[in-house]
Amino acid sequence: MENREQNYNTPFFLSQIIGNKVFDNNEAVVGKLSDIIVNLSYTYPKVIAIIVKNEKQDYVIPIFNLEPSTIYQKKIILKISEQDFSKLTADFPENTLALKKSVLDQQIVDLNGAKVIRVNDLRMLKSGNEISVTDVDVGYRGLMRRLGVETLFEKMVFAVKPKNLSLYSNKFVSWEYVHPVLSSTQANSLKLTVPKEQFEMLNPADIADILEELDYEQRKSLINQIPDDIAAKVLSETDAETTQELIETQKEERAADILEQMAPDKAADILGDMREEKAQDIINQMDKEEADTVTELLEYEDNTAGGLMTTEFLSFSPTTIVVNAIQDLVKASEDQDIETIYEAFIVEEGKLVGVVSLRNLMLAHGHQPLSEVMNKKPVAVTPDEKAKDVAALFSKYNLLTLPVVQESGELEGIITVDDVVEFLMRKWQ
Amino acid sequence: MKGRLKYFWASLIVFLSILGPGIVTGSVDNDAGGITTYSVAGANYGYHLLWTLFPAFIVLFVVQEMNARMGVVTGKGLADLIRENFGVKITFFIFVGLLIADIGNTATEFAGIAGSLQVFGVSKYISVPICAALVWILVVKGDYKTSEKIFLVFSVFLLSYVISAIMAKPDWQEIGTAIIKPKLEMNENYIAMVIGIVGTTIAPWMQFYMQSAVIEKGLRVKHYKFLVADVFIGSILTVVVAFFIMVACGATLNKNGVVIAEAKDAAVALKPFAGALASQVFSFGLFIASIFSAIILPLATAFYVCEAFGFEAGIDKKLKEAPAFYALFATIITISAGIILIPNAPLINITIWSQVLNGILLPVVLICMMLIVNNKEIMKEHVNGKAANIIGWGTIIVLITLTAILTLLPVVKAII
Repeated sequence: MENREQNYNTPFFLSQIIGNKVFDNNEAVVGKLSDIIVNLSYTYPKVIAIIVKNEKQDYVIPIFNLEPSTIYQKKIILKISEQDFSKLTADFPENTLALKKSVLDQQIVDLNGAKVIRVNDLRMLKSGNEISVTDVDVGYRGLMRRLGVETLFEKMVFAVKPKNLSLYSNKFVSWEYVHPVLSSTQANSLKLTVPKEQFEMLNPADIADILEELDYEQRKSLINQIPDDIAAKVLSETDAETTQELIETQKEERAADILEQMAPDKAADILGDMREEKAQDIINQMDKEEADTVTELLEYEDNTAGGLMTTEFLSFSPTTIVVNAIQDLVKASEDQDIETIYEAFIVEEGKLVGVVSLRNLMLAHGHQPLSEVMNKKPVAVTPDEKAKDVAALFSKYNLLTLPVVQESGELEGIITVDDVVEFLMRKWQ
Repeated sequence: MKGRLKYFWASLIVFLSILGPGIVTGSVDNDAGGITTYSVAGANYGYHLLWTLFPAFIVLFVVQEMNARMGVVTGKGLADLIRENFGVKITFFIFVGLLIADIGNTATEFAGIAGSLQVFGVSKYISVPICAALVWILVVKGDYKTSEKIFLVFSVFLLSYVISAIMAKPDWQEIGTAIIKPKLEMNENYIAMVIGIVGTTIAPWMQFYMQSAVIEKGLRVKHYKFLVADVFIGSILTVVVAFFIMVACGATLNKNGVVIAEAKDAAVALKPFAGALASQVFSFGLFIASIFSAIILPLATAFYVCEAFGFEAGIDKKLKEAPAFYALFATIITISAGIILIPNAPLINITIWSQVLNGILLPVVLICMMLIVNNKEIMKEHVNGKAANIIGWGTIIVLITLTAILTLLPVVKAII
């Protein structure tokens, strides 16, 4: 039984094998194991080579030159002799990574737990002739193992708090859920692909938190791997400084693609924080329609109604009947191209004449024209109204949206309650 | 940035960095231990050690500039960088050492609190528990708006030393002469005092604090020039406060031959020579400096240790979710405040041994820093230039030599 285990599924830790002596097929020491190279194309990365270091140099030795069952032994034995090393050619697929150099002790992203974790150790598995990485060790026990006092630690915990299992049991995160975030220079030479679904599983606000926790290089590299539409949502949630930094490091085309998918008021906020030439370069790359909207919004001062508003909203003519209005609302909800569906705005010759809420629509008869259902005296502000006063109106009238109109009555845009909350949070901080 | 504690920490640092990371680090630097050293130097040697503030300034500036640069380039804390580049063992050594040293340092801060309030007639059995509780509440309750105001007042009040010094009516001409033509001595006590002054201006935990403050403020390479100015001003402020403490004690205690061992003694001894008010202002400054550092030091220590080892550090509000962080913070506060409450606690020994530990840690931290700041993979084009390296390594060699002597002296004395 024991023997079988040794030959088949044997788990071991990276920290236990790094530094072990490596022998050639003549039992002569050739050096020490200094790192392990894996291929990341698999769910559980496969070991493809080891790096052996001696006084003279580092040798990259493909894994098939190794007696596989000796990888986790004190003596690692090669099938070749030192003289054969010169014939070895290191020709790897693109997707490779050195575990000790780039993973051990580094921060990586746990997509399942939606947080950044530090790698204390890596659990590996030898299964038949294949060796792969299965889990990331993030627990205290892994730390103690690295310090070489694992057993002592276990005994101490057992003596003091025998019932506290969480202290001395291993804490693993399966490699399936983790995502190594390399510095952008490393990432350029390495094509890491994260399935889109993995990012879709996460709330954009959580990805934003992860981004903020990573260092500057890692942030760049992670945002490059996130699809544009998700990146747009994520960068709407990150703090202003991080958002600006990440947008600025993108090529103008991509920055434009991401900003196009954001709410125009958010995009305008981000562009407004940038150097003018840089912002203009990005706007030039955007679709005309979006570019025009954003340019228009950029005219307004921060902390005014104009600065808070978005120009994406649903408007109807007073003669539209309720059924048709609801159909349009359903369609707009499917397309997700407006910020709110709870209220729609009734416009006649460009001028605001009323507001209708989703609730009004649902309670009305299908054939009624909107002019009979709408609130004919909606609260509205002009674009230069102070944001502080806008917030007061939201509070006083319990608003979800607030239309912004010119003196002449023309509807310019709407402010949604989330923009107001964000303004208040910023102010409060 | 969920969670109250992390939020508190972030807000605290964000607020503090409005003043600038360098300025704040400089302010926290003049803690109870620093004030003691400067007071003793002033009392024993008058104005003749004022010149040491020049090398102290250079050392402070050079080291903190590197921290600032590493922060803006990488966005990583010094704890992170050391862990990632030198592995678990060195990190563990540094942080266990730092933890012990900081417990000792925090005890010194509580001693400062106890001593300064004794001048106002408050017993240490009342002042220390109350202040320890305040520190705990401030951090756990995390009402950053209140602490914001408190800290702002703290920093301003540190200038009370300028007032004490002026009230002591020093002879400015004599001060000028002493700076230009210092009387150098070649005996053990004098050398120990010189080392003490330079050593107290640069403690290992400050490097970690400085770099984290830079990152929490979200500063980038484009802000670097301002940051250097900030570090410069901070270093100046540190030595200016030190200068006035030495002047205050030099003008009064030294002239009248009063010998002191603690900062509190200086406050008491000032009374007959410069008046009760000067004495109270001096004590007040000591109290402010002590409680300022008694808050920052344990909080910072708990935070770096957790950061380096990947423990939850206040990311979640609940005690159960960040046990290591809370445990560390509570332990540091409890032990260090507890030590002060023990009657006849060997306070001088605690101060000496935590100084020794700092002395051992400092070269390790500095060498790690120099290696990181010269690593092209990490720092890219922002690695040290030739001049920066000469100054940097030069500073380190001098510092290591000085701290080695400082570290060995008390050990040798203790053994003999």
